[in-house]
Amino acid sequence: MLITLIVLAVFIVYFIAVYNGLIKNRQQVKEAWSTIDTQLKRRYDLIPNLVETVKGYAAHESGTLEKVIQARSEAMNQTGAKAKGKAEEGLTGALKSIFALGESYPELKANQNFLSLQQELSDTETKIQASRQFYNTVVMAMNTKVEMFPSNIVAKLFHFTKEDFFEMSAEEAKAAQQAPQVKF
Amino acid sequence: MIQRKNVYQHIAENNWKIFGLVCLFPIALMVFIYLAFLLIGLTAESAEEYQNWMDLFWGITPWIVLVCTGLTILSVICGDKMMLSFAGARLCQDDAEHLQIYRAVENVALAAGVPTPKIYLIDDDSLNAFATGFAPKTASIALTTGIIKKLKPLELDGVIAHEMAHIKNRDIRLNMYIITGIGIVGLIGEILIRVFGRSSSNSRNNKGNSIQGLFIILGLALLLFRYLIAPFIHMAVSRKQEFQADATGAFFTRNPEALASALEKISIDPRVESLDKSEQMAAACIYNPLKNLGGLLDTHPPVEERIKRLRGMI
Repeated sequence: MLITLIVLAVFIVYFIAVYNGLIKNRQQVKEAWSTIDTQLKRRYDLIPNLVETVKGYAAHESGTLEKVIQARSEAMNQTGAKAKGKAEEGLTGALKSIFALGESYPELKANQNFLSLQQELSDTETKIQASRQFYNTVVMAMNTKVEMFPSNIVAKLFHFTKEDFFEMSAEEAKAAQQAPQVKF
Repeated sequence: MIQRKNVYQHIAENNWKIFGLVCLFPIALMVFIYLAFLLIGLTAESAEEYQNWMDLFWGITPWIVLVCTGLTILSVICGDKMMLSFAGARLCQDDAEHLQIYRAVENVALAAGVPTPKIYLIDDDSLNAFATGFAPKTASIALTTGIIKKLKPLELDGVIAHEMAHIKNRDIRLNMYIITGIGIVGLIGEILIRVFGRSSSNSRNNKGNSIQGLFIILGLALLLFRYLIAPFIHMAVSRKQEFQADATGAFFTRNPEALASALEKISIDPRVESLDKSEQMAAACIYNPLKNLGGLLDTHPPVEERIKRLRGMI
């Protein structure tokens, strides 16, 4: 009788611990996502300025600018880590083509505004990378618990599901795996 | 590169150690002192004398508790400020000149998932860095001007990530408690020896002498622990934290090689003048700024071993 009670108590304590752990995980995922979101919003805010600046110097390149604006609004409309990750990847690519314009328009390249926007955007991109890295670490911890026995029983019971990773493009994933070589 | 131990597991482990230090250590200390009094009380000839000893114990207990709590609160509230001012660090302004370093710290903090710590600069051409602060929210990172100048951006990221790992792992908190605990033991030992060492000359009675002798032995035992045993425990904990911070830091930047090459450069010139006389500050730095004593009393593992482990992660 006593043993049954003890076993029952141990089970209940274990359940509560796992449940609270999962809640904490979910909270961490949300927090990490909002950090990414802040950086993404900063990028969205910078892009119209950039487009205006470039327009003054390279009016012929409206096609490139159009693409960036489109990629931006598409990225803004996506929700969920997976879809948003894909759209953001497109936006990063489109932005690269704008910065490439600097090479063919020396006046644009010399523009102070253009330069500072370029710096701001590249900093934002680094920050998106960094916060995504943390986000994915947290998601990994959560998903492991949701899938692994015996915590998956608790997860199923209370409808905890796996979270999506914020995807990297194949190119970026490769760069992240190969640590840059430091020469002496 | 797979981290051997998950960051969160390490934090949990550190939290248990902190719990042990904050709850169990004071209790153990009080039990030790109580047993000493009991032993002395039992040698008493009359019940009245026994009662006197026990009254003395209960009389001093509140004071000891007060001093312990006071010292702990002091180290929690201004431990970090004391460390920073001791090192002669000044707050780094968020201006154009320091934009690079600000961005670097911000980015590593994002990758580590902690709030951006305050940045302090130490005007010294040598290469060193330390982190301080009781909680991630109030943490600070101090860097010498030399380390900012002489390391490449990626290497500096590695150093910042190492410090960020100390912050995230709550290493600094554990260290502060250890230092405070060691200090308290030493303080009690010293008080016992001073109080009973002085009054023994006035006492004419043999029994009183032997009891005073016992207290002096008790004080000596505490001082022995403080100077001969505790440092070994503290340094062993410190060395383990350094390995862990290297691994966690490399995990944050996904770039162990950068930290390894940074350590190679730092190891050539780690001596910071303002940190010359402090063993306890030395333990906080990324690389021991003092001369290495080597072996069990060293604050940091051998740099060759740290670099070897980092390169093994790639």
